[in-house]
Parts: sequence; C-alpha cells; structure tokens
Amino acid sequence: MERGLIKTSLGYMQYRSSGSGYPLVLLHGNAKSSVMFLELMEALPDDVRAIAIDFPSCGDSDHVEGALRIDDYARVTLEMLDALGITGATVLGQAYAVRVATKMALSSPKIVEKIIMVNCPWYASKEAQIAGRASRNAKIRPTDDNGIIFTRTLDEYLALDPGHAPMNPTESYAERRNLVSLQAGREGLQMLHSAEREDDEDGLVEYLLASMSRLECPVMNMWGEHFPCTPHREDFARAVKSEHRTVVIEGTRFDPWVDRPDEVSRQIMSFIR
Amino acid sequence: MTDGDVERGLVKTSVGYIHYRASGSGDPLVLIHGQRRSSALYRELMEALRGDFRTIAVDLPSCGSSDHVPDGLRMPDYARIVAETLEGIGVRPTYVLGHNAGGRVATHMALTFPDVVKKIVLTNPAWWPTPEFGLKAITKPMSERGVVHTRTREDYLSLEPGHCPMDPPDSWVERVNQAMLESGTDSMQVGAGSLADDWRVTLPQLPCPALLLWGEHFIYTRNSGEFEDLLNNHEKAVIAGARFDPWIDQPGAVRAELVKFLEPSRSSVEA
Repeated sequence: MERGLIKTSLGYMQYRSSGSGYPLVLLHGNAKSSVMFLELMEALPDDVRAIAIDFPSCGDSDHVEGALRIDDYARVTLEMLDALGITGATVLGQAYAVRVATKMALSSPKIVEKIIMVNCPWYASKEAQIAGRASRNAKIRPTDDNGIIFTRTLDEYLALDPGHAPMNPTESYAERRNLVSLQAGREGLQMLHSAEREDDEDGLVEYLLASMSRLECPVMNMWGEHFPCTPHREDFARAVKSEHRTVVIEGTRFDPWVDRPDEVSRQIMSFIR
Repeated sequence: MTDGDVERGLVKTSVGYIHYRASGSGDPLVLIHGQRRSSALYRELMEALRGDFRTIAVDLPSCGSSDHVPDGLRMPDYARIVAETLEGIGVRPTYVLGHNAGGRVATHMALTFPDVVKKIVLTNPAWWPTPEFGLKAITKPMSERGVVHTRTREDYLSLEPGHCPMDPPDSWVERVNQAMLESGTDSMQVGAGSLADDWRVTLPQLPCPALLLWGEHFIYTRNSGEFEDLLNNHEKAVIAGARFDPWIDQPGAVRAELVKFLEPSRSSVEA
C-alpha cells in the first residue's frame, strides 16, 4: 500500500493507493477515513489504481476549523487528483461523499468519467429528513462537550447504530471506527453539517436530486441490502437522468466491502470496464 | 499553532512509511516521543522553538500516522529507522531530544551516529528500579486485542497523574487518546523495546553531552540521582511547575533550557 501527503488549499491531505492502471477514487463519509476502504482495496484487481483519500479533518489529513461546504471537499479532491496526475477516473462516494462525487462530476466532467454512489443517506420526503436529523445526533452519534464522537465496542456499534455498521464487522473494523472518530475530533460532524447546510439553502431533499439530475456521466447506485435507505432506492435512482444502474449487495449493510469484498469488487469492475 | 503551520511528510523506509512533522528554521532538533504517543504531542514545543531550531518530530513505527510493523523492534532499530527517515528528508540529526522512552532512541542515535549527533536531551526518562517495575509501569488497561482504553481528562488526572501535565488542556487529552488508538493493537511495542534496553549499559558509553530535563512533579524526578550517576558528561535542569510533558505546562522555561544547553546558531534568546 502506497501512502502520501499532498499540500492542498485546505492543508495536507493523505491518500492511500494500491494497484496500477485505471484510477478508481474512493471517498469516505462523515468522520471516516481511507482506512475504512482497506477491505475493498485488497479485493480490487491489481490493474485498478485505487486511490482512497482522507478528507480535511479526517484520518491523517490536516484539520480545518469552522464550516466547510461540499464544494470545498470536491475542490480539494480535484486538487489531489491533479497532483497525482489523474486526468480521468471513476469516483466512488460513500454516504455523504456521494454529494462530493456529484459536485466533482458537475464541475469537472472530463475528469469524473463515471460515478459509483454507495449507500447515499436518502429520505423520501422533507418530513422524514427533518425527523431523521432530530433523532440522529443524540442517538447515533453522541459526542462529548467538545463535540468528539464517543468510541464504542464492537457490540455497542451493532446494538446502538446497526444501520451504520456492516452485518458481521470484525474487531479491526471497530478499532478503525474508533480511531477515525478520534482523528476527526472536534470536527466529527463537519462533513454532515456541510451537507445539511446545502440542503437548507436549497430545499432539503430536492437539492441532492437536482444535482444528480444534471449528471451526464454513467452512474452506478450501490446499496447494501440491509442499509436503512435501501428500500427507497428506486425513488433515488429516478433522479439520475444519465445512463445508470442499481445494484443491491445482498447480505451487506453500510460498508458492503467489509461483508462481501469480492462481490463489491466484481460489481465495480463490471461497471467501470 | 494549527496544523496549517506545520510541514508534514511521509518517508518510505525499510519498515514502511514513517510520518513526521517539521517546523521553524535553524539547527536541526529531532524530537522523539515515547510509548503510545506521537509527534502531535510536541505541538507546543515546536511552536515555542520556531525561531531557534528546525524541529522535526517523528512518529515511531506503529505510532501516530506511521505504518504499523510486526513486534520485535528494539531501541537500536528505532534509532536506525529515525535516521532513515531523516536521511529521506535530507536532515542531519545534530540535536536529538527524546521524551521518556524516546530518550532511549535518542541515546542509541548518539551511540550509532557519534559523528553526527552533537548533543542529546533526555526529558523525563523512563527510569525503573527493576524490570518488573517497568513492566507494570508500561501496562495499561486495554482490550483483549491490546488496544489501550481511552480516558477523560478527569480519568487521566485521577488514575495516572504521573503521565499528565499539571494542567492538561482538553486538546492534550484528545491527542493522547488519539495516539493510543493509533498505536492500536501494537500499543506495547515501544514498551517492549524499552524493557529490552538497559540505561546502565548505554548511558556510560554516551559519546556526546546530554541534558537531563525533568518536570518538577514527574514521579522519577526525586530519585534521579542514580540515573544521573550513569552519565559522564551531562547537565541537569528541573522545570518548576511541570510534570510529564513539561512543554505543555511551561513552554517558555523549556525553551530557555534547550537554548542554553544546545546553543543553536540562530537563536534570539540570550543564553
């Protein structure tokens, strides 16, 4: 596994890279990091250059205080790709990073050739979205007085927040989840808040759909069978007007590659080849 | 000092990627952390020394943002890996400061590279009367897989004050907790290297002057005499009002002692 730090307009950002050949960029969600992609990177064939990026304030990247916008995440990721000499790639975004991948494709359609959207947080109505926000922070991601997400045991992850856990996570998974929570530190909800800010400015659920409807590149929607938003996948897919497909990875939930890395790899390869 | 004021890098060494932070300009001063810590714990010291030294703080293997390695490294190995890292970024380790267990690495750097390392600083060295005492000292509550439990500020101060500053800020607690999880299942590696090392053998051979820098309230400071007797060429300073990481409590006093002892060529401080 290759690693590097690149100086961007938001400080040093880290990437992990494996394989060589066609670039596949892996973007993590709120308060996660590239280490959550290790199972997928191991499963992908050697002729794919997988590049997993730590967003600002996450993983081993520098912290950025204050508010960020999804545009910022998209801009610095494009800066990273530029520094790495990547002129065309498929971009996989998980959860809130679906928005980052979408922004990247809208601003730089020549670079983002295809998008893979994995388990995008998705509410079928404004009411459901508002209710989801109200219950989420207290129940799913409790923090201390400094805003740092509490660490948990493997059993606690499964009992308290199963929707954001694989079906059969390992101790190593729980250790990585705890590490990335502390690495994100006081900025543990920064990315989530950036998504909510854009929603508030642009009309909640309509915002994401409007962005997706403007995509011109091929899209694959990938859902874990047991992820809470997966039952609404057809409504979500209707927003995409470009060529697209939907796949459900059976027996998986939030990080499908933790439970079934080879099947996820197979689906990705059938889409990008 | 924020992340944005510090340069960072990853150097590929014989044991994988080693991460470092660098700051300031002047003569090179290499900073080496102890068990389950990382370069992030040197933020205050790097800020204090910006005008005096080029400080380079290295994350030891399996610590901080460096790659993890299998068990089995010993202190001379850590010294070699730090040297490889510095070579990768074109820095000669003129001065080396090692904190606690990191002092053993600094000592081995001086022993291994006597023509390069001019002076070393040992801050609050881990100094145990017996190996059994040492094993107890380095063993913390941890998971079955060896991951040390994180703590609140109150927990650190009540359960383990000897390894805390006198008045740790929340950010210290956050950095220590993060460093614990970064070392992860390899949390005992540096400690195991320390247990296999013997100051009684290494310190009498030290080829360069050493500064012993103690926090006034560090647990071993009051019994430092036997330790100091092992050194042939050293100075000693006690930082009043400080404990484990003296630069957290008293950065100005630590800076003054370092400048006085190391005499950097471009410092603005009156020695």
